[in-house]
Amino acid sequence: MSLLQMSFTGGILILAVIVIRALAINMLPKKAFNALWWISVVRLMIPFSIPSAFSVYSLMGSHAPGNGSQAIRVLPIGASGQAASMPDSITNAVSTWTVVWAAGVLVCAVFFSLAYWKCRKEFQTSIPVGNDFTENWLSVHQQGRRISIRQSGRFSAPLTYGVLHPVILMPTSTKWENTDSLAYVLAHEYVHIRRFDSIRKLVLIVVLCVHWFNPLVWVMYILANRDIELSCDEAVVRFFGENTKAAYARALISMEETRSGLTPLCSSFSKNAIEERITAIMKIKKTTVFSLVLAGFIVVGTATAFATSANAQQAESVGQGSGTEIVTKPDSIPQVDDSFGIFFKDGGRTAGADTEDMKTAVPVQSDDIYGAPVEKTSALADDLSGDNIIYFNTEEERDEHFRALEANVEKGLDRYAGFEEMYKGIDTSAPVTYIVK
Amino acid sequence: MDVKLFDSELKVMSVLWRDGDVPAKYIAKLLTEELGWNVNTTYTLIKRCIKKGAIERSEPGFMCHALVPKEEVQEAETNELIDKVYDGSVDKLFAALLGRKKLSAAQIEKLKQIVNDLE
Repeated sequence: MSLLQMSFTGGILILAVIVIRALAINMLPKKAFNALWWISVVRLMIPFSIPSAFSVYSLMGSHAPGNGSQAIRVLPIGASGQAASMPDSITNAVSTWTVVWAAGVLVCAVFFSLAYWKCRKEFQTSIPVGNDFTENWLSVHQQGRRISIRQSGRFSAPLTYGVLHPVILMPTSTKWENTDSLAYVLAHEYVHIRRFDSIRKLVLIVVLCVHWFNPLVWVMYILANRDIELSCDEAVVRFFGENTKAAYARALISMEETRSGLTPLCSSFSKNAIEERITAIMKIKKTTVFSLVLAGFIVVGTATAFATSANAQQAESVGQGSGTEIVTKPDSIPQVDDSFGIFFKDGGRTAGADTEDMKTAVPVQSDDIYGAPVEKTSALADDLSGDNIIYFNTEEERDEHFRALEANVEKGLDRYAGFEEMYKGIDTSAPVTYIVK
Repeated sequence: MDVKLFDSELKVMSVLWRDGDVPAKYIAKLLTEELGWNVNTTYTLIKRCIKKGAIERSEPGFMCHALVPKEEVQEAETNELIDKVYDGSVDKLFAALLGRKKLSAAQIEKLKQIVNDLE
């Protein structure tokens, strides 16, 4: 799968999650949404597809993500001869877009690294907090990694940083005597530490950098970050008991109040986020068997439907890229269809499928698009002589040869091992044409 | 003239108010022991104090002298999520992404109403 395909299928999955989230945010355990975002992340990052008969792409009877134009093949996919078979204009377009993409990744990576580095520098100016409450809290909450609590006047909301040595950073305005409210705030940060949420957020940033050109991935970044918070809130409320949710929500609001002073300025976006959060906390319900089953069903269902691709049966009519001057001959080589069917499951766009297509292809001729058997002595064959052609007497011989090549590859040998004689004078880095006499 | 300093910068100043004029090296060593800061962190803060007109430096040995007495300093505190860590648009983009911005009194009232309604 190319990056664009990954981004496209990932984008469709993100759209599905956005819809589910909008419909069921307060009905399902928040972990369900986190799970859905992780499935989206995996779909965006793994370069191969998982075929499924229940995929939406199967049900639509098409293989949309793989059915695109040549632009789909943006990234080199490692098939030797692949690039050589494309017209020059396409090879050039590929490199231009690859450069633009790489530049975008670099810009994003630099931006986030710089932002983090500046924050980190500011974290380091924090001052350790030592009072009875924090010492008591820390002695109860110590775990494998040493947690410390510090404070800083340069941050207005509590936050946690550091993975190996997590630090909970409190604003200087923290009222240490308000222990009820503090217990909630610290519990919230403690859940973040326990769940390694800083690493989750880092993974989201990496995905964002790679898919910077996909607006849906930006939406995912924002919503997944919110859902990490919501899930954390849910854990805190469950820990203290469902009857504490109003107190917890009020503790959060009073923190916002300390922070904001009297500024009329506010982006509507963050307003929605905090409203969503407060509402979500107030609507936390006891986890029931029903809600768990429903969540499991939705997660598995969404993953099956949107994270997979059409399977072989639905994708048999794979069209060749317009840039190549060869067509497949599916009717006459059923064995190849069967044994290499797996390559067609993602729409026939993987390296294996492409090279295989080329090898099983015959030149297009005016009277028979599948290529009538060509006589070596005919005028047409003469025109092709010296152009990387290997001749067979029968189709069976040819197919047998393909199987032998494939077996070489599977054994980890050179593809053409044992056929050195046959390939003498053949340039195997360019497409080879196989013709049945 | 009152100078507004953050708590971290006040830690630097308090060394000067207590011990008089000392080299930057001395402040750094003291605060490493006391607060666990690394040397660069302390130097960064000294530079910020110089910029704010609270410290004057002189050679040799980067001697630091407090320009303002303790009584004239106000403790600064941000009401932004992160105070002036970013510049301009970077700041806004990041804050928007994280969805952390100040809320108005009316919005806070609305949040309280949501809690009351759902309780």
